[in-house]
Formats: sequence, structure tokens, C-alpha cells
Amino acid sequence: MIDLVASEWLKLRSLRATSYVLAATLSALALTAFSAYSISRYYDSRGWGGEPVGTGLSLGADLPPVLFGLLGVFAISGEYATGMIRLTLTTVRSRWMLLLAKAAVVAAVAAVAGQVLAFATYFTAQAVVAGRPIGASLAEPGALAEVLTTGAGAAVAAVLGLTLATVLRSTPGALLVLVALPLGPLVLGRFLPAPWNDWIASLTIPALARQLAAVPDAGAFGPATAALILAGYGAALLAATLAISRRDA
Amino acid sequence: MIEVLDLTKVYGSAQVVSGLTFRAEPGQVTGFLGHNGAGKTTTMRMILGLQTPTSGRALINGVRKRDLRDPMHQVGAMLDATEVQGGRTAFAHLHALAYAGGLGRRRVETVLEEVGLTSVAGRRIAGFSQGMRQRLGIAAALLGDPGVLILDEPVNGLDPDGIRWLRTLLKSLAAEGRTVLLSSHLMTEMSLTADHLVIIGRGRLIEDTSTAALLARHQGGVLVRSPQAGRLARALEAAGATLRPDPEAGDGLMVSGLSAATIGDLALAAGCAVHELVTRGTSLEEAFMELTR
Repeated sequence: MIDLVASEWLKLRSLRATSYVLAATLSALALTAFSAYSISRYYDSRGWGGEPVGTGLSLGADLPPVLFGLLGVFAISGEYATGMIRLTLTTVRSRWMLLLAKAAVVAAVAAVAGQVLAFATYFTAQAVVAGRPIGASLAEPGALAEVLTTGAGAAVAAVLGLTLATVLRSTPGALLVLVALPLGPLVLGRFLPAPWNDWIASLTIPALARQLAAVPDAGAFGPATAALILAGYGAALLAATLAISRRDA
Repeated sequence: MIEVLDLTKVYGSAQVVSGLTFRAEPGQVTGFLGHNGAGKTTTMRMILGLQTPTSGRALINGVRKRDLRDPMHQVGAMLDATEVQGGRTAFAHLHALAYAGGLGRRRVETVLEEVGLTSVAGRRIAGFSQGMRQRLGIAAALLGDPGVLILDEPVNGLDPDGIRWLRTLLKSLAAEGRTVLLSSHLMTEMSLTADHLVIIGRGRLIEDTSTAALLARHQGGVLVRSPQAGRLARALEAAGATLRPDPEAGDGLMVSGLSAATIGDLALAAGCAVHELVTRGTSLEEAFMELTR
């Protein structure tokens, strides 16, 4: 198993898409900085009104899960697209162990990168806010927890991306679902009657990360339920292990 | 050793492989021949555990691929050399595969040397020619130093030097006691490399024979043309020859079992004029076409 993890780590590292995707996550920083700047300007001219910046994590929150999901997609979709998966499968003892190794690698990379990004986002937002009373200190309730769970959400997103690409065996298919999946709750949340709209809108990975951190007004669920749903997203990997083990390659 | 036992694969209503049984023994190169679409690739994929047989079994060293404890060290395969991710360097590609088998950089350097790709190891595979990819595929198959090698159309895209190199390599690997199974649709190339031939057509076994025996059986003959063809034919048959019509659809006779000299003497004795007397070796390619018709 350690051999397989080493192998998959080298594969992910030697893929150019990996560095592109990780570089693209920096766009979340730019988005956060811009939003925090707009809110700060509003505060300067008109005082209190609208949402405060807070930790700043919710400002660009929808972007990172999609990008870390891509990381998971690319960990296997290229092998399916080129047919290299066949060569890989002839060299390994069991297919589900291969998939588990891939999941471990993308989860670890996304967890580290996601955590770094979450802290960078927080500090960027606070730097832009520059002491105005619309930011949040890490000492405030839920603030540090929110930064930490946002990083963990990245790992869940990466494993979900890997799951989708394995089940669908198609790069465009996996990308489509990855982008459409978080849009569904956003759109439905607007049209469904209460409390359905609240429940549906609480199902996205960034929303779940905030509920897991018990951020006030983050959604319909408590930390325990949020953790369970996030674990459920991760457990979808089981479906992918069945798919890869049973199908002809 | 590779054993294929009553192997069958059905896709929907298409029976791609039907009750195929053969063995590839250690210490020799076994050629797996058939036209495109005859079921060679499907059979190889079933041996390698990539596809599940509809019925029957395919065994490597007595067990199914999925039951091999250390697959990389027991079987090496090259299925389609174009099936690689072009973004990686040749070295990174092999290194990642090597890790999966618990092997390190040194083994990667050794196989790169063996296939002659050392100088381009740091280049991205996307820029490789078909022949270089073929060599890279063979390097990947050799990584775990396996006792069984399965190569699907390894000659494709190799230049004449490359083909000779591969032939020598495969023969030496077999001489070390390994089992080598390689597929091709080129009979002539195969007759130079393989000790044993397994020929299939439409998923069924047609021939399972040593190359030498097949060559002997499909030897050519002597083409003779005479204005007194009928009389000559009776004389030749009386002397034990086997006659076939002229393969080039002329008015000659294709004679096997007698030498050109004997035929000339018999013609003289029978009082037949001889207008043409030529020894012809049937091409193996013709024999193959005939067998798989």
C-alpha cells in the first residue's frame, strides 16, 4: 500500500495539471481581497450595513471546492482518457487498493493546500479590513474552527472529484458534474419553500464546513450532522471502488 | 507459463473469443497470430485480468492474474504503447510504475539503458516517435524482471533496426527461461521470432503448432508448365507427387513432393515437353491467409 501511495504521489506530482489547479486556487484569494475591499469601502462611507467581512472565508468560498475537486478528477481521468489505466492495473495487486492510494494522495495534497489557502484567505481578508470592526479575530467563537474545517472541506472535495472521474471514466463528464453539483443547491435554495430551501442550501461543501465549525447562521444543520454529510460525500468513494473492481478495463 | 483454458468472451451478441485453449511454455517465444479483430487483444487482456472472461480461465504461472501476489515481478505487459500520458517524462513514467512494484530509480535506469532510451529519459513522452513509445512500453514490461512477458503487436512502428533489436531481445529473454507471448498479424516477422505459433481466427483456435512444423507443412513446390499437361499430371501422380492448380491461375501445375530434377526426368520419360520448370517457396503470408480464410 505504501508503494502504491508513493507511486500515485509521483504521478500526481509529475502531472502539469496539478500545478495549474493549485495555482488557480489563488484566484480565491483575489476574490476575497476584492470583496473585502468593497465591503470596507462601503463601511468607510456609510458605516454599518450589509454583511461584515468576518473571517472572510465565505467571500470566495465556492471556488476552492471546485478546484480541489478538479485535482481529484485529474488524478485518474487522464489515465482513463489515454488508456494508461490498463498498464497501471496490470502492475497492481488489487484495483480497490489502487483507488484507495489515489484517494489518500489527493486527500492529503488537498488538505494541506486547502489549509494553507484557508489561512491565507483569512489573513488576506483581515489585512484588507485593516482594523475596521467588520473583520474577525481568530479568538472569536468559531473563527479558528471555520478556518480549519474549510481546509478539511478541500480534502472532501478532492476525494469527491476522484470518485466522479472513476465512476464516469470521462474527464468532461466529471467536470460537468463537479461544477453542476454545487450549483444545484444554490439555485434550488432560491425556489424551494422553507425549510427545504434551507436544507438544500446547507448541503454544499463550503456551507457544511461552516456548519461543522458551528459558525452562527451557517445553515440548517449542527456540527454532528454536517460531519456526517461530509463523511457521506467521502464514502461515495466506496461506489467508485466497486465500479473500478467490477468493470472491464 | 501461460495457460488459456476454454476461454470465451461475449460482448452483447458478439462472441469475440470462443472456447480458446492454448499454452505458452517457458523458454520459448510463442507467437499469437490472427487478423485484426480476431480476438488477440481481448485474449491478452483477459490473461492480464483486465477483462473478465464470460467463461473459461486464463492462468499465469498457474493462477489468475488477480491472485498473483507480486504481479509486477511475475508478468510484464505492453498492450498499446500509445496508451501513456504524454505530459510526463519517460523517467517519471517508469519511476511511478516502478514504485508500485517496490522498485527504485536504479531499476528504471537499467531498463532505460536496455531499450536504448537513456539519452531521452528526461524528455516528455508527448514528443516521442511511435518507435520510441514502443521501446518505452517494452521498458515498462521489463521493469519487474518478470518471468512472463505479454506483448501486443510490439513490432508496430519500429524501424528495421528496432525490429532486429526486439527479435534478439525476445529470443534472449526466452533463452533465460521466460515465457514470451507476443501477438502480431505479420506472419513473416513472426516466423523469424517465434518458436511456437498459435493462430486464431474469429476468436477460435486454428493452429497450435511449432513454427518449424508449420514451415515444413506449407513448403512451396515446383511449378511446371507443359503443353501435354494431362499426360504429365498422370505421370507425376504415379510417382507419388501431389498436384495443385497453378496459384497464379495460369495453365501450369503446382507440384509438391518431387524435386525439379525428378520432374524433368519424369517429363522426358513420359515424352512431355516442358516449357517452364520453377521451384517456388510459398510465402508464409500465403499460408497464413489460407489458414485464416
